[in-house]
Order: sequence, then structure tokens, then C-alpha cells
Amino acid sequence: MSLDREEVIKIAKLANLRLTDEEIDKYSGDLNAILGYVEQLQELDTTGVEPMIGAINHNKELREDKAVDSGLQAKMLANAPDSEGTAIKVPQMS
Amino acid sequence: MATETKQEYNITIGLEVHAQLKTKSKLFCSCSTEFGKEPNANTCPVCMGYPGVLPVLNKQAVAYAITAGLALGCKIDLNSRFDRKQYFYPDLPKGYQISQFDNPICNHGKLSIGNKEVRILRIHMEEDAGKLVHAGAERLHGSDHSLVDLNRASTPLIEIVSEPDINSAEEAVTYVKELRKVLLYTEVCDGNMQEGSLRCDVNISLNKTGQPLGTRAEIKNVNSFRSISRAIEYEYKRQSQILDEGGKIVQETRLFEEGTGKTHSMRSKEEAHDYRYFPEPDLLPVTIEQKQVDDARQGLPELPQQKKTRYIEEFQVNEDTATTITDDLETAHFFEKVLSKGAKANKAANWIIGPIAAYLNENKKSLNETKLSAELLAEMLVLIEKGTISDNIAKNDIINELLENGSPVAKLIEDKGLAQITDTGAIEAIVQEVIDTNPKQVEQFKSGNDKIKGFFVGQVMKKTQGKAPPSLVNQLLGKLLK
Repeated sequence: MSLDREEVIKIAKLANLRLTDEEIDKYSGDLNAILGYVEQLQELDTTGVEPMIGAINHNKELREDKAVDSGLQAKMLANAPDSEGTAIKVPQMS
Repeated sequence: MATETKQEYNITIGLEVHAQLKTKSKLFCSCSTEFGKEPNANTCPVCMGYPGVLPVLNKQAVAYAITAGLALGCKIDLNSRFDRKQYFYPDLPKGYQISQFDNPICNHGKLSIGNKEVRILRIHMEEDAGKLVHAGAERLHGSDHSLVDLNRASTPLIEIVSEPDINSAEEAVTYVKELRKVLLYTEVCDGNMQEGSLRCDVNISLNKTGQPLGTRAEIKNVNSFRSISRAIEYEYKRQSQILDEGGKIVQETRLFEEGTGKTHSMRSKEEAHDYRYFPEPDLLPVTIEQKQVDDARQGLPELPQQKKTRYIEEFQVNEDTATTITDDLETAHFFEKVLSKGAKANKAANWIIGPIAAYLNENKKSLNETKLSAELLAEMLVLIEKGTISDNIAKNDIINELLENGSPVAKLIEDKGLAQITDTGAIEAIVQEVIDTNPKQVEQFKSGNDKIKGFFVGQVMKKTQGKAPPSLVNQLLGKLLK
């Protein structure tokens, strides 16, 4: 399996990346190398093996439902490029 | 109504209902879920999507999802998982929404909507997005920026996805109403559609009988019962027109506009359909013990349809009455309490859906905003039953007093002298007096005009201010007019 240029352009667009022609060539090579490596792994027969998503397979430690104020609102708002009142200001969305 | 127009096409509808879970804190952080705070008051680095933070799953949200699933007849998956759904939009600070994709917590349920059962495909947990406010709504097109409020970002939702088993606007509305009732009865969601606690996406396709299902359009932003109905009607017209002209329906997402009642294509999001889901690496799989599911099943309350059936069977109230009372949990609780205080079921039901409902409608109040307690209503109904007061007196002089002031019933009757006259002799004297002072009418009665009897009843009631038991008056008139 390999990715063609068109697919790389589409992925870049979905990821909000603007790439130059040279970069598209470079990333096409990089991505195909990664896919080639994964393809090797796929030669293994994993029939009947449960997919492992993480190192621990249980989730016993959930959070109790208690509301706590972070106290960080003003600091975080100051990090926003622009704001109006306590709202974050962004270019107009249709 | 779509179903009332000439239907050349069959309409097939599937609904995705997003219900906000009634937790105190958000799905993956401890920020409050309180509605109506100033923008970004309920935020922290986790729900703001800061780098290096980790989500921690809210225990209560999982419990609510299980309860909702069981109430809707779903199978609970003891091992479900969260995934990332990736797209860019300013109301989504992380650049992805944490949702459940191919391994949701609940599968394969059902919900009865009267004569039909709608299958539920799945229920999954996910976090909500924030809110975009377009600066100055009146100058929407003139404004050059939007404002982002992330108070709602990461509040817990369940998305309830139905199979395409719905075939009219009416059925769709009934389905959402029934669903909302179940969520309110199980207390997992407050059902407040104005505040966005319950929102709907509607998938609609048309086909002709015998043909395969048509291409569907997904209508977003359908957030009231009226909108559901209008959006479906509009889509029926739009799609049937395209098909009539030999055109093809494009599979797309469309936005419903409340103002115009129309739907329009959301071209800007077309590309975003490729969400590139993958397992959320920041969260462990959701593992649930069978015991938790069993306990939740044990703890399920009586559901709306079970309650309705019980009212019909146990209390012999008719189906419409049972439906009206069970439509609202508060009313159902009130009704049951009135019965437990000794009132008769049918009387209590008729009072609740009759004079009391009329008062609530007129004053735009709910029961708990009045002073009427179940005890007071029961006391009044028992007094009617005993013949101490008449139905009419209760309607005209007592019930509003109870609703507005919660006055003690016995004192009210005494102070206003509302009790029926039980002294037969006293009433007989009044009847005789009425007969004696109206010889002309007596003449008419004797010459065969039976209807004139009503005149005498009226005169007696006038003299007794409605406090003579009508049956006794009739009986005495029959005797004395001979």
C-alpha cells in the first residue's frame, strides 16, 4: 500500500497544513516509509488476539462528579490572541 | 404536514438525539456544567485544550449512560472505548472531539411510540463543543468576528441513534417526546430544549414503494418539537421536487433555519466528513463490572409506559387521562400522592387534568409553583365524596383558593359557609316556598311541560347559593309538585 500525491494533499488539508510542492514530495516519501514499516508488522497472524489499546486494560479509577473552579480563567483568556469581555474573539465564522 | 399531502414517496427517518447528562461537572475535567454563567467562567486547561493536560472520565456520566441504555432496552457493553473525531472549528479547542466511534457503551435497544417500536442502534458518550456567538446578532453579516464561549465545551452528552424506523413527521415528534420522557423519568437529563439539553439531528430519505432506500440528507440544528416537524416537511418537499424532476439527492449535511423553516447545505463542512477517528490514547478503555449494570437495572424507576399501563389497569382511568398524567413526572407523582391520601383515582385524575390543568395553563405555572399540596386536594376530594361540598362549589369557590393560597380546606368551607345543606327539612321548606311563589310555572308543569322542572331547580339553587344537593332537590320537587 502506498499513498499518492493527491492523498497526501488531502491529508494535509484535513490537518490544516499548507505544504509547498517540495514538502509534499518529502512527506509522501516519509509517510510511505512509515506505511511500509507497518505493512511488515501486518505479516504476523493476529487472529484471535484482542487488540491492545494501552498498557493497562481497566479503568477503575474514574473521577467523582464534583465541580471545582479552576481559578485560571483570567490567565487563559490573556493567552488568547484576542478577546471581548470574557469571550475569545476569532475571525467571523459563517 | 408531509403525511397529509399527496404522498408519492415513502419517507424514511432516523434520528440522532443528543442529550446532556445531568452531571455537576464536565465529562473529562472538574469544571462546572452550570448553564448561563458568563462566557468561559466554567473552563480549565483541560476543556480549553491546553497541551500536556489529561482527560479523566467522570464516573457519574458513565452511570447515567448505563441507566439511559437500560431504560431504552439496550445491551450494555462492559468494554467500550473512546475515540478522537478530528475536525477544525473554533468551538472545538483541541481540534478533536472525544467520542465513542466503533465501540459505544450501549447497543441495540428499542422504544415504543404507541403502535410501533423504533429500534435504537446505539448510544454513545461524547463531549459537547463550545458555543460560537456571532457578535451582534442583528448585524450578523456586518460583523467581522465571532465570540467563543467554552462553558459548554466538554459537558457530557449521550447520543442516541435510532434505526431508520420512523416514517412521518408525527412519528418523529412522538419518538422524541417519548425519549425525552424516559430521560426525565430516569433523571439522567433535564430535557430542557431551550437550553440545548436535548438536540436533534434528523436523517431523511425518500423512496418509492418497492424501490431501495433513497440517499439521505442529514439535517442539523433541529431543536424543538415544532422544528422537527417543520424540517421534515420542508425536506420532504425539497427532495420530492428534485426526484420528480429526475434529479439525484446529494448525501450531505444541511442546516435547519428556524426563521425561514428551510434547510440549506453546509458546504463549509463538506470536507470535514473525513473525521479520521482513532482510539483516544489519553484515556483507558471504559470497563464496567456486570454488578454495576445489574444494580443499575434494579434501580431503574417505573418508566413512563409502565406507569401508564399501571394507571389504566390498577386505577381504571382511561388511556387519554393516563397519558396526560404520565406525560409529566411531577404530575404523576402528585396524582399518586393524592390517591395515597384517600382520594378516588378517577375523581383525582379528572380534577388534575381538568380544572387544575386549566388553571396552570392560564397562569403559565407548574404544579410545584402553586400552593396546592396533594394533601389539600385529597382532603377536598374526600369532602366532595362525602357530600359535604358539591363539585360546583369546589370548582367555583375552593380550588383556586387552594392553588393560590393553600388555605386549609375545612376552614375555607366554614368561613365562606360553603357546606351543602344536609337538613332535609330546611330544603323541603325552600322547595315548598319556590312552588308557592311561582303558581304560573306550577300550572305549566301540571299541563305536561316537564322541562319547567329545571326552572324550579334553578330557583332552589339560587335561594341556597348552590348549597343544596341537586339529587335531593330533584327528589323533593318530584314529591311536592304532584
